[in-house]
Amino acid sequence: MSKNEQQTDFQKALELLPWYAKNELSGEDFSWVEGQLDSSLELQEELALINKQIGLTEQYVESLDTESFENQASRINALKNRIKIQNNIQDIKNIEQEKFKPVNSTENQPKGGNSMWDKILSFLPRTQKQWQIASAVALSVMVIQGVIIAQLSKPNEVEYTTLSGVNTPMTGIVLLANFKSGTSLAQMELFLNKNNLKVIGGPDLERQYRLGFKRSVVKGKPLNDEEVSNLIFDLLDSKVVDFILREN
Amino acid sequence: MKDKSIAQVEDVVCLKAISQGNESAFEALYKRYQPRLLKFSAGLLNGDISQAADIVDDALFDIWNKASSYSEKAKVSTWIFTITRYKTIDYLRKQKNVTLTDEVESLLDDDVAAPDALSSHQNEQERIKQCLEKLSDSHREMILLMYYQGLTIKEIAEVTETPMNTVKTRMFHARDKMNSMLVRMGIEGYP
Repeated sequence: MSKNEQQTDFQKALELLPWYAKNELSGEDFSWVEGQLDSSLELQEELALINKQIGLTEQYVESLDTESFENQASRINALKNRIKIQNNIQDIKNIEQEKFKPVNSTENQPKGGNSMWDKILSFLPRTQKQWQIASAVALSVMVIQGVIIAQLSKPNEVEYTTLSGVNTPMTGIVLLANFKSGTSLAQMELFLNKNNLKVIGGPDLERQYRLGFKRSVVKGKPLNDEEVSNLIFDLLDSKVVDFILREN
Repeated sequence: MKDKSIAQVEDVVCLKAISQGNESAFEALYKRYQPRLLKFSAGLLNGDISQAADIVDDALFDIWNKASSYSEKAKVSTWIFTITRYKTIDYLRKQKNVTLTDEVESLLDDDVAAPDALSSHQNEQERIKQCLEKLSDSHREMILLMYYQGLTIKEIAEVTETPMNTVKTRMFHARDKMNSMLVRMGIEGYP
């Protein structure tokens, strides 16, 4: 055997020694290292050092006071709780996924769906999520409508009065008006301001508003019937009004 | 200690049950592995047992979730060590903001306290602790996996995701460095 080969074998044996010491080598490698050890004092010394290192390492790791953390019931329970929470979240996700299956999938198609009722049903939300969205949209519409009404009929006792000059609108001239569909809030406001009118009620189920006159119109002298009729005719010419009439 | 092949069969059965949501099997696996993993992780973290316990729990939670993905290419124990090792190293990286390579090992020969510098109260155990702490993470990992956990070259290669030859070389350098530090520390048995 050449010197180079001897050196290579020595290096290889050195690298395998720790596993030899821990008896973690395959039978073939184990025998080979043993053969190398028999013929090398240096390797034997190295093995002694490795055994010492193993002992010291084991001593150090064993000295770590891990016992109080080992297999604690509280830790295991905490993990089990974590698992339960995760499972619950997964369950919810699964339900959501189930409900979010594409609407046009075969199983979601309305069965025998050609009747009017089926057609109506087909427009209804099909999933809990869709119901939630639909409800939210409906609620938003109601809120917006409420805001519109609130803005249009904002009580302003100082500014508001009726043509008769009386502060309570019920005793003055009140007009009933329906605005054309599609009339925006801005268009309504423009119409009301232009004609010194203010919403004092409505809209009712027939989308009818009750309108009174602002104080600025009142100049101490109430309008007579003819004047009111002329005013109504003028208002009817407005592009935003569908119809308008006197309530009282 | 249980025969390794029997332990492997038991582990595989346990993992299959876990993959079907069996919490008792999970508890059994936890009780079997947590102490070993805790020592390994705490050793890597220089004795930070509390942190190691959290990391090990986290790793075991991952095992609960990934049990169905276990393939019998590697031993269950190797697979579990790989996950725990990854989590521990990840924590170390975040703490130190370094990568775990031989290049970043702390060449701390000058930092290692000479025997005279150690007070009379510091016993051999404390010196060993200091010695292991001064090793680079990758070398300390080799020492712990090999000397304490008794993993084979192949298992360490799988756990650390490095080639087997690299494992042998790294182990050689790790123990060489440990030797030189132990000599400087005047540990009994070291010339």
